[in-house]
Amino acid sequence: MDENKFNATDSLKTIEAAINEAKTTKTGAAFYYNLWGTILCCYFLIQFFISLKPNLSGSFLNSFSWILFPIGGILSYINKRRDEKNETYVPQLEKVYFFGFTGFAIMYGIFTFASTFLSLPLSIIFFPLISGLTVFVIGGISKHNISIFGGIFSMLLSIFSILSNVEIAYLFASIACITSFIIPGITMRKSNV
Amino acid sequence: MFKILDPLLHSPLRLAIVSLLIGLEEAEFVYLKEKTKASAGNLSLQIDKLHLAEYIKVTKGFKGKYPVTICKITPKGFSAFEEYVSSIKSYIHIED
Repeated sequence: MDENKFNATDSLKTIEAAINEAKTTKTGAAFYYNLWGTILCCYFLIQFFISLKPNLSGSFLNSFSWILFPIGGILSYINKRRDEKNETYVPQLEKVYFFGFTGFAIMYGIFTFASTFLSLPLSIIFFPLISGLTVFVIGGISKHNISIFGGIFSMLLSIFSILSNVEIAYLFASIACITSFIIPGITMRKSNV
Repeated sequence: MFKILDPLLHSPLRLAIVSLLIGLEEAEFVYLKEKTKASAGNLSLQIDKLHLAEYIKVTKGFKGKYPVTICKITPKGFSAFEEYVSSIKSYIHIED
């Protein structure tokens, strides 16, 4: 475009085009939502079955539930390296996801510490609350409605989790993984978030 | 009354660069070239102008074996853009 003929309307068109362009930038968060949602869901389901049948506590199933975490870590690392190679921009939302889930990890760590210290399964009981709260806040900032509703649903699950025994709390935690991470992750993938 | 438009931003390519960077944390030269459809030489020249005015921060590094130029909007650039948008509104209002 000729610089001398560049007027106010052209300026607005340029700004609008750039804003629309920024809206279509992908964060790649869907992959992590689906991966960690599935891993945590499987882990809590396995723990649920083990708590129902204590004779499974020393079984392969119990060991397998712990192997899931390093597998998730390796897959996340590989995906991050691949993204770094291909991505030519960093979306602003990436910071939101980083701080949101760092906060989630810190909160969960504190609950796990409190669980050990007080001999109460707090980290399991409150998992739906902290996962729901994280996804709810991130969904609100990123304007992703499924995350907002999923987060609210998970937070409400924590009420039932508090009122139930630990075996059922594992089941609620696995349901929270589906509503907080897996369903929002699938919809993010479809909408290219 | 017309507000004075920032001459540094009142240029199609420089405005496109800054507008793109406003919506991102940072972007590589390749991304800006692809989105603005400008030639590498012209884009490089305009980036230098914005960098000299401290509207954007330019970091040169390597991605694997390949050199990479990363651009990021600065707080000064952000304020200048906000001021520019505010000024341009007065023009549009009168043109309407």
